[in-house]
Amino acid sequence: MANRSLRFHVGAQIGIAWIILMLGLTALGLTMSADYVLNIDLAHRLQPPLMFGGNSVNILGTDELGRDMAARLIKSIEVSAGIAFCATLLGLFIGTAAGFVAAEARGVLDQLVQGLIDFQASVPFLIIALTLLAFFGNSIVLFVCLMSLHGWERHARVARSMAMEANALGYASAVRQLGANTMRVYALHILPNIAGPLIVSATLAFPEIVLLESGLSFLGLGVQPPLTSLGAMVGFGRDYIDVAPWMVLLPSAAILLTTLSINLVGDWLQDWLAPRRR
Amino acid sequence: MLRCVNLSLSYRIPGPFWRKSTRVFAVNDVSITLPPRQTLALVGESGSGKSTTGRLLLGLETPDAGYVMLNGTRLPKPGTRRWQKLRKRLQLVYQSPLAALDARMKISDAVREPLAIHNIGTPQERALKVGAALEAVGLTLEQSSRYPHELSGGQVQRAVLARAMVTEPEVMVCDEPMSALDVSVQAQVMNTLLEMQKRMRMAILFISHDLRLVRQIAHEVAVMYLGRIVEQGPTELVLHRPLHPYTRALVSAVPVIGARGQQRIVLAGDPPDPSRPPNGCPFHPRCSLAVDRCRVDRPALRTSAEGQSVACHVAEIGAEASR
Repeated sequence: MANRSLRFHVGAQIGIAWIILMLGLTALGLTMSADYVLNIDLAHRLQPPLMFGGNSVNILGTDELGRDMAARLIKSIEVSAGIAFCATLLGLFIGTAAGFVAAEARGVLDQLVQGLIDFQASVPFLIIALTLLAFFGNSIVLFVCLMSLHGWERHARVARSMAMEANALGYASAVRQLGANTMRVYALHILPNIAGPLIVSATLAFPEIVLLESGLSFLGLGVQPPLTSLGAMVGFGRDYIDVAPWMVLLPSAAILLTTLSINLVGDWLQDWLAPRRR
Repeated sequence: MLRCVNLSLSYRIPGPFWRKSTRVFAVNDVSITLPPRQTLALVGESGSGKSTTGRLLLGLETPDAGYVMLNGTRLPKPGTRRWQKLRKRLQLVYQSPLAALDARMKISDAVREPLAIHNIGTPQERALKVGAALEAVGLTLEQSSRYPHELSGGQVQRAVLARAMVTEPEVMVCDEPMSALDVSVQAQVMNTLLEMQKRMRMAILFISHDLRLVRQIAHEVAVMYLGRIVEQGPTELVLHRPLHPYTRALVSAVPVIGARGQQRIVLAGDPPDPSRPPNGCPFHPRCSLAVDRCRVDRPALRTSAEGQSVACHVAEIGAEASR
């Protein structure tokens, strides 16, 4: 019992600390005026960060258009994390719903859902993403929906197999035999019981979606300027990597630390949510 | 009154593709009547179809042949609205209670759930009913505010019993309800069952292989072997003057304190593979009394004047000899 406690999980503590810091910065970013993020100052372009001989106005230096790196980084974290959060939630919802439908309906519907799961799992996601973005153009809503397709198949597999297990023998069939309808069985019994594995599955998907968003934005297919994201910053910084390496390094470090933190917290959650049965 | 007529349920076991799948009869041609306030005990070895018969009687499974009637109407198909509504009148007490309870729901919430499902009573009335049910099975308030895994096996079993009785069902099927309980608790639960039965005119199907419990609670006993009822009758008759050789073996296996030199009939071999039941009487390969006729001709149930039925060609001869 004791070793499951957060107190003994240093990695999760670091992860949570970073996530809290990020949330704080994001809150700060929301109060920041758009002007500040977009403010172009060509006289002070490609300034290095303070500790590498820069000025104290732009602590983290400036980019190729003289925009403040610190402000853009905060804005990027907000956008990237926001997209990843919305996409993870949406994916979790889609996956769980699909898994439950498959488990309940069996037969043709189950085959269909399983087919979709296998399709999703066997086609490189980047190709699906490129195709859809090429056909439908790019908007932030479409982009979030697209990102949510990443990982839904894992949630669906978890939801389907655990719901089937509960239905076959055990608490769910017992509740049905008391006369409960399908909604009640799934909402009040199966969902709370499989919430643990689903949350773990979501914490796996979240950093992957951050990376995916970064990758697509790096390729120029994701978040479009003037909006910025961590991946977009890395993408635009690529051209200046020899004269202004901080333009790539800072957002890259933010991506690394964010995904690492979520993974660490996910590891701990996995232990903490493990069923405590005899 | 719950009555089933000629119930059969078989499962298909798919073999390799070049061979035909085999049919296994879990329950074969079983007819049972459960009048109110009566307890019928269903005894037999593991795999003899006792539990399946119980599930068929409650309408949890659909029989291949035969039907189940509750007060003159046939049970609806599982999963339908009518079937769901009927659940409050037909309840099952599970063999493995821990698996039947939601691990994330407190005992008191689990016991309240049938009332919520069937929309019975106001919140206050529900709380009263839940309290009464928990008290009847001997669970304290403190125990009922815990989660299933925090209780002992016997306490969980009693919680399942409380959940089954809270809707005051007409028929209750108890599937080996006592196997997880120690003897003192068995007596308590048994008394609870008997009291409930008196108060609510409940009929009980008591599935067990503990003949001592059966003797205490059952008005009538049915003995199953390989999916069929081989002997049925009033408890006193069946347990004291068993007619079927299989029942005799079962009865002789019950240890009696102080009875030395009791003749124990030891059955040879295992029960046959249900996918390839023997010809004739299904019991003949293990029967010491078997004659030629038993190997070719399956005996039908014959009923004596006292209401004891037996499916055996040689039974009455043996019984008369011992009289």
